[in-house]
Amino acid sequence: MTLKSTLCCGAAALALLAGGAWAEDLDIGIKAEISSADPHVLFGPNRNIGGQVYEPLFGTDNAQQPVPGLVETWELVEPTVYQFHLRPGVTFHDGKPLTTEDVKFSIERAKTLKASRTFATYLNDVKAVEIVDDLTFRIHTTQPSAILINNLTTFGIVSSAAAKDAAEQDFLSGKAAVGTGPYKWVEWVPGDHVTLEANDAYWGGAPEFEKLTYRFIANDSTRVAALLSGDVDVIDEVAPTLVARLKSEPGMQVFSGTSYMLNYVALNQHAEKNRYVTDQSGAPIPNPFLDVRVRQAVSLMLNRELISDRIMDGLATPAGQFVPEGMVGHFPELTPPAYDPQKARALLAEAGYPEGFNLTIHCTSDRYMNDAKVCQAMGQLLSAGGIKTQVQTLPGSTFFGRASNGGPNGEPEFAFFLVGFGAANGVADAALSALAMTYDEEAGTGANNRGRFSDPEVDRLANEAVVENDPAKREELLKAAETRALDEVAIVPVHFLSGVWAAREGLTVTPRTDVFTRASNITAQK
Amino acid sequence: MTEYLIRRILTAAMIILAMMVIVFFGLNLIGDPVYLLVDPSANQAQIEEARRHLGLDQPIWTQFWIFVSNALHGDFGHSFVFNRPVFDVIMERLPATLELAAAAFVIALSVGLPAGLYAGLRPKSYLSRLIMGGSIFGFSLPSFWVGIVFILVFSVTLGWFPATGRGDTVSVFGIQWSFLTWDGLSHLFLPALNLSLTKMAIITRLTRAGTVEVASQDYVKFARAKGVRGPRLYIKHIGKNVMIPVVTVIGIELGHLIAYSVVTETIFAWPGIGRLIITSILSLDRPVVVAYLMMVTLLFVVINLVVDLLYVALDPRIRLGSVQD
Amino acid sequence: MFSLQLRDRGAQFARSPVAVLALIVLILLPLVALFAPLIAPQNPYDLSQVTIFNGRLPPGTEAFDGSMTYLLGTDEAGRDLLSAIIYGLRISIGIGLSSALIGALIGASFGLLAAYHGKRVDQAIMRIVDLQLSFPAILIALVLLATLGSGIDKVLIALIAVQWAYYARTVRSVALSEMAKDYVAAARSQGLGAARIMFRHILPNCLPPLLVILTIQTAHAITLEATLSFLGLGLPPTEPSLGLLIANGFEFMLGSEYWISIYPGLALLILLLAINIVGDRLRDIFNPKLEA
Repeated sequence: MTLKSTLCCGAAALALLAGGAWAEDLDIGIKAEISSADPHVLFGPNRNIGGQVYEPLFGTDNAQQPVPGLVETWELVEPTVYQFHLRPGVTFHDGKPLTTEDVKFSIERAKTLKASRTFATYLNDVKAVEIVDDLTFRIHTTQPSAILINNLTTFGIVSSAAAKDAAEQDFLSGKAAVGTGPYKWVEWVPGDHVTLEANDAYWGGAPEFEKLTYRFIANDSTRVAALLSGDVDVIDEVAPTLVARLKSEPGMQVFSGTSYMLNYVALNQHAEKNRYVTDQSGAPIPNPFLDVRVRQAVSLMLNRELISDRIMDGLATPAGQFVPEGMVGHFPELTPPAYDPQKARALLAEAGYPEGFNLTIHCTSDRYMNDAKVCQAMGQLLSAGGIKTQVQTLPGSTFFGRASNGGPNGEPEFAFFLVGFGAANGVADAALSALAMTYDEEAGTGANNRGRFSDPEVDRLANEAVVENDPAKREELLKAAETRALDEVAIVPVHFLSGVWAAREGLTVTPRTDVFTRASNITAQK
Repeated sequence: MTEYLIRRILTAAMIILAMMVIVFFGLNLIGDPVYLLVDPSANQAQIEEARRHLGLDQPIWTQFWIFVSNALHGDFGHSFVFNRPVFDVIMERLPATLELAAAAFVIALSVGLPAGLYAGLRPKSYLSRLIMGGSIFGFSLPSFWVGIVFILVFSVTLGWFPATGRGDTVSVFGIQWSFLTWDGLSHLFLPALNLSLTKMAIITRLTRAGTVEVASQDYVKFARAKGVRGPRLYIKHIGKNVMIPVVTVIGIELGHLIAYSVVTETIFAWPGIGRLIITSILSLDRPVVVAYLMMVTLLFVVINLVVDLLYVALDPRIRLGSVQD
Repeated sequence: MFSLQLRDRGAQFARSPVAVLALIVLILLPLVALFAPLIAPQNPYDLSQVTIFNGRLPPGTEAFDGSMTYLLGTDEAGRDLLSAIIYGLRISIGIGLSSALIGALIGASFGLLAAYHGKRVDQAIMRIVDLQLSFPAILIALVLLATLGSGIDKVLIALIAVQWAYYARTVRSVALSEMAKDYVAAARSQGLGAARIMFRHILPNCLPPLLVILTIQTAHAITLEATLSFLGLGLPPTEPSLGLLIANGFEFMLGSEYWISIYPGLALLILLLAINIVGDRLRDIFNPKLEA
C-alpha cells in the first residue's frame, strides 16, 4: 500500500509544476500518430494536424458543420452547378496568394491520389472544377449534391506550385508543405512528434501559440502520466477509468463532449443459419435475426444507460440513431430505446423463442474506447434477458477481415458484433449510405452494411435525401429514412463515444465532435 | 577459416529466406489489411482501389514473386500504413532503439559486473546475499509491470524523470541522438533502466558464477598465497578469466536487448523499431513486418558470428567450428 | 543409491528457509489453480454470475444484493477479483506448465536422439538447437503470433516452440556423459533396444538437470505469456491470465482503483519469485561448483 500513499503525495509536486509561468508553446500528447504528411491521405490524425497547415475550403464548427473559410460565399447556379467565391487576400506560407488554380489542383489531386486512404468517396459526385476568375470557381456535379459543402470541409488546399508532382517525402521534408493555415509545418520525427509553428501572416490573425508539438503517446496510462509529470500540456483520448484520477489532481482539468463515433451492433440478416446462433445443444438454428421482433428484443435488452454509467464512466451518450446532436440528420425524437427486459422477453416468445437461444457475440479488443468491456457487459445483459451469450474478443487485425468477408462464400462471418462508424463530413447521409442501405457494389452503397440489412424504402428515401437541395424537404426525407431504418432495426445503435481531453491548469479545451485537438480549440486563461 | 565463414554465411542466408517466406505467407492468413486501412466511409470501389494500390488484388504467389524480385534489388516495398519505402521507415527509427539498447547495456554491465564480482568473492557476506536475492527479483519481475511502476514513482510522483519520448536530440552524421543533451539523457534514463534490469540480473549471476569458479582454482589461490591482494588480484587474475564466458553471453544479450525493447518502447513511447513492429503486426503492415524481421535476423546472425570470433580471440584453446560444448 | 542422494539433496535444500517457503508456495499455488472452481467464490467467466452493477467495488465490499463479499474488490466488469486471480492463476500456470512439459518432452526426445545416434543426426539436431537458442525467445514468439494470430492455442504453440531447444541441449549433454559410462555399454552388449536404453537408463539420469530447467522455463513461459498478452498479441481479454489481468488493470494503477492491477500483479510476482527461488536453489544443489 506504499504505492497508494505515494500517489497522493504526487499532487504536491505537481502543484509546484503547474504553478509555473506559461510558455507560448504548447505540447500536446495524442494517442494516434499521423500516417502521412500528405494532406490528401485521409486519416483522422492526419486531418487533425494537417488541417491546421492546409486549410479546407470551408472550416467546421465544433459539430463538424461548415462555416466560411477560404470560401467566403457560395451560390447555386443550377441544381448541379455550385459557384464559390474565395476570400481575397489569403496567402500561402511561401507568400504566394491563394487562387482558384490552387483550388482546382487540390480538388483534383484529392480525388485522384493513388493511396489506400483517400478522399475519393467524398468527391465521388464532383464532375469538374471550372475556373471563372482568380477568386471565383464552379464545381459541376454528376447529380444535385446536398452534402457537397460538407464534403468540402474534409480535405485541405495545397499550393499548386509547391505540391505539383509532390510525393509523401516532399510533404514530410517540408518542400511541398505549403498551405494557408494558421500553422506552418516544421518537422515530423516518426514515432515521436510533429512540430508546427505559428503563421503570423494568417488571414484570421496570428494564432495564440507560437509552437505546437504533437507527441505521439499510444499507451493510455503513459499519456496520462506524461500530463501528470508535466511533459505535455494537453492530452486527448483520456481513458474513462483515468478521468477520476485526473479530476482529483489539483490543477488538472478534464473536458469532454459527444463525438461523431457511433458504436453499434450489427446483426446478421442475410444467412439462413449462422454457426454462432445455436439451440441449447449447440446445433445451429434458423437465423433468428431475420425476424424483426428478435432484433427489437435485442435492442431492448441493451441497458444503454447502465453501459454508459458503469463501463464508460458517463463518457458515452446512449444512442438511438446514426449521428449525435449538432449534426445534420440528428432528430431529438429518435431517442434511444429504453431498457425493457419484460417487453424483450415477450417479443422473443412471440417470435418463437420463449426459451431464448445460444449466441456468440464478437467484438474488437483494441479499436474503440472500452470495446471489450462493453462487449462483456452486453453479454451479461443478453444472458440476463434469456439469450445465453458467449463473448469473443479479437484484435482488429483479425476482426475486420472476418467481419467483412470471413463467412461462407465471402460473406460477413459473425452473427452479432460491435463496430464503430463516424464520417468525416458530419452528415447522417454517410452513415445511412454505409450502414443501412442495401449492399450494392455498383451503386457503392452499404459498404459497411455487414449485417446486410436491405429495405427498398430506406434505399429510396436516403437516395432522395442526398440529392435534395431544399433543406426543409431534405430534412423530412432524412428523418423518414432514418426512422424507417431504425424501426426495422438495420443496426442497433449503442452509444456515441465521448471525446475526452485533459489539460494543465490555465488551459481550456473546447471539445469537438471530430475529436480533433487543435490549437484553435485550446485557450490559455490569462 | 574461410570455409567456416562461408558455411556460416550460407546458413544465415537460409534462415533469413525461411523467415521471409514464413512471415510473408503467415501474415496473409491472419487478416485483410485493406479493411484496417480504408476510411469507414469508403465505398466498395474505393476499397477495391486501395487493394489494387497495395498490390493485394494479385494472387499471393504473384505478390510474393514481386516482393522477392524487388527485394533482390534492395527494394523492400512500401509500408501499407505509411505509404513510404519500408527501408526509410525502419532506418529512421533504428537509431532510437540502438541508443536505448546500448544505454541499457551500459547500465546492466556497470551494475552487474561489480555486483557479481563482489558476490563471487565474498559469497557469505550479507551484501552478497542481498545482491543475489535482488537478482532473483530482477528476472522475476515482468518488465512491463516494472515500467509502469517506474513511471508512476519516478515521473508522476517524484517528478524526477520525464515519462515519455526521446527529448531533445542532437544530430551527428545526420542521425539524431538523445544522449548528447541533458534533456535527452533524462528521457533515456528510465526506459534504459527498465530494459536493463533483467540483463543486469543475468550478468550479475554469470559474473558471480565465473568468479566463484576462477577463485577456487589453483593459480588464484597461489597468487593469494603469494600476497597478491586488492585490485591487482581482481583485475589481473580473476577479471580476465571471468571475462571469457561473460563476453559470449554479453554479446548475445546485446541482441536480446534490441528484441526486448518492444516492451519498453511501448510503455515509454520510445520512437524506436520495437514499437513500430508491434503496431505493424497489429495493423497487418506486411512489408514492415517482413523487412523488420529479416533485418533483426541478420543482426543476430552477425552478432553471433562476432561473438564466436571474439571467443576464439579471447581463448586460443578453442578452435572455430567446435565452439559448442 | 539414488534415493540416498535425493535425501541428501533434500536436506541441503531445507537448509535455506526462504527456499522451503518458496517450495510451499509453489506447491500451494498450483493446487489452488487446479481446484479453482471449488475454491473461487465465483466463476468469473459465467456472465450470468457477474453483473456490472457490482463493478469496481473496493476490497471488502458486499455485493449489491448481499450475495457475497468481495474480499479483494471487483474489476470494472463486476468480476470478483479474488476469483479472477484464482482463475487467472489457473490459466497462467496451466499455460506455463503445459508448455514447459510439452517442450521438455519434445526437447528431451530430440536430445536423446542426438546423443544416442551421434554423427549426422546429432549434428543436424544440434545445429537447429543452436540456431534457435541464438535468437531471443520474444522474437520467435512474435514471429509465430504475428503469423498464427492470437488466442490460447497459438500462445501455447509459440511458448513450446520457444522452449524445446533448451531441453534438447541439456538432455543431450547429460546423455552424452552417461553414454560413456559402463552400464550403457553393458546394456548395449546385452542387445537391449535403443529406445529401452534411452528411456529406461539414460533419461532417469537426465532428470535432475531437466527439473531445474523445467522450473526456470515455467517461470519464463509465464512471464512471456504475460508480456505478449500485455502487448495485445496473446490471450483475449475475456478469460484473462494473470498477465492480462495486470494489463487490463494497467490504467487503474494511475487511477484510484489501485486494487484491480495491484493484486494480480502481486499474485504474479509471488508465483514467479517462488518458482525462481526454488529453481535457483535446485540449480545450486545440482551444480555444487557454484556453492562456495
